[in-house]
Amino acid sequence: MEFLPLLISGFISYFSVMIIWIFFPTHKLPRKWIWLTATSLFFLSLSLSWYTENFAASWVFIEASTLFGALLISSSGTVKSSRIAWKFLVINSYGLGISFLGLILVSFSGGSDGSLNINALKQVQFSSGPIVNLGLTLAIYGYTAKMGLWPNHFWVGDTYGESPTQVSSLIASLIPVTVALVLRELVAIDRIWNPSIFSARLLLPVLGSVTCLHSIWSLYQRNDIRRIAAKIALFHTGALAWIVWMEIPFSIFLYILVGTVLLKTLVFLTMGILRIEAGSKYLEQIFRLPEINGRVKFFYFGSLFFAFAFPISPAFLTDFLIIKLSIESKIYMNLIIPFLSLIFFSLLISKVYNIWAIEDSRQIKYSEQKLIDGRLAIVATLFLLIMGWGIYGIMNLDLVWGIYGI
Amino acid sequence: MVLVENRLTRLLSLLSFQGFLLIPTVLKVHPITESHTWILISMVVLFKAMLTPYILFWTARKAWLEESTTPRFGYLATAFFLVFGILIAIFLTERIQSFPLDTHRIGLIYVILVIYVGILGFIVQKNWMALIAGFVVFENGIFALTMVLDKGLPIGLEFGTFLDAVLVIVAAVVLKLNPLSLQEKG
Repeated sequence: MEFLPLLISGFISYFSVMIIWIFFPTHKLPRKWIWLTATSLFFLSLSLSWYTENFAASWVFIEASTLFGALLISSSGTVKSSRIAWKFLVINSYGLGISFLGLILVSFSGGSDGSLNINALKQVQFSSGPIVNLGLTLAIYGYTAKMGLWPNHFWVGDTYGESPTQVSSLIASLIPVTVALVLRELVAIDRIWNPSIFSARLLLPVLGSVTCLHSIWSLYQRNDIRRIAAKIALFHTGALAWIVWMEIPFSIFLYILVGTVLLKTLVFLTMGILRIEAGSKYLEQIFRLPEINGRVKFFYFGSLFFAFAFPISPAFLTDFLIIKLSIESKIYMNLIIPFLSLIFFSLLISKVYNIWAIEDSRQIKYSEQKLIDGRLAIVATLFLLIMGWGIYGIMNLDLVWGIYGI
Repeated sequence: MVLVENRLTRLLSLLSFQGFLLIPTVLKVHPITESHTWILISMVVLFKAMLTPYILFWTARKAWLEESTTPRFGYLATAFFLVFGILIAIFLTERIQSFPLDTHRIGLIYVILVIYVGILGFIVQKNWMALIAGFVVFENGIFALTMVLDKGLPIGLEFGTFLDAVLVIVAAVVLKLNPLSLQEKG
């Protein structure tokens, strides 16, 4: 039952994508049933991994999602999409192969029964030595490749930036969250077995912060709204890696994951709507448009603000939470994430601000009307759900008041 | 040889041969009388020795990939990387001596080297097929490692060692959806 909110948010993301595949696709896809089945199996395999209490089983489910994800990425049927699917498949499988190697070493040297049962491993109070440390390091490093952290982030930009919007939103919202859950358990075991700060789990804040810095630098160079959405997802993934490393209660961690799933779905879907309305993904071409539909513009900027700075958004509350925990624990190093988030958001707004300056129009191209109206209805629902989740966080998780001692 | 082989067909034949070489490692761990042993051997022969190389061969033909390939950094540098790997393997096994692992040291050096060659293949190869071949070698190394460590794998985790077969099957399906996708890269 503890994963129910995550399951519901994942299902909302999956359901939104399925509605778009069925009713509002941009291209008429041949063999549509293949993509619908692959989407369902992708969601099913990841959601099953949340409920397993065994590293081996969760590894199998996550790898299964890689296979279905690769099929989804190739759904455009273009040469480029097939190439990206291969890249996704190979880098993710290598990452998971490395984590598999790490899990085997943990299984043989961890001092438990060798079954990789998470609870059994946590019962082993002390298990140190080069082989165990190497195993945990490889397992954590391998999973960071699957998550899309630097230096194995090469698949992220292509996959999120070039796949159909619904595929990008599904992969970007569900994969990092699923891997974060596994990494949290590995970090917990590493913390029990090796209390020193210089251990395998230190990889997460290091790679997470480098990923955030890299996404800021990449955002500075990009002039394409698809790639910009991909950089937002990459930045959030880097921040999530840092959060996994922090010792935070599970209920708050789950709150952050649910917010991440909904926000990433929102960011990619609103970007997709803007792309259809503008007829181009390149900023310089969009800036030259004489007018753009007001609702599309409003939802696009709304999603960007929700992803970083809107006061009742889960992302904004997460930054608040990090600040609060940093002050309470006196680990001020954690403040780097809200600080980088501020830089990323400022740069993001400076990049896309000119879209806001384009004159509003009430018209939508007749040929695209049904498509855009349908998708706008989905993102409007997502906005309401995210606001509801934000308000729930303020009221129940003591995220804001605790800082000021109210 | 996998690292410096410049003909795709020979490379895939080597993969098949390596798959057959995994059979003795299974027999080293599991008694010949157990049905589990024979299921495992059947899976090794089917997936690692036959299906994976065959599908890769089919994919190469389907994508009209060139038969010749060269390592990204040249033969000499690749050979140097290999020597470096041998030294790493020896160093690692020196460290392992102090741990209660009842393991044959030469076997362990060989297995670490196979895993290293698989990872190295991912870095030095520029041809798609050779790159996937590197992954297969890496997975074969992991399979052999579990056997060399003398315990075998818990049921369920055993399937993980056949990831390479699943990967090439899905990669081939992706390619079937668009047969032109690998041409320029080859």
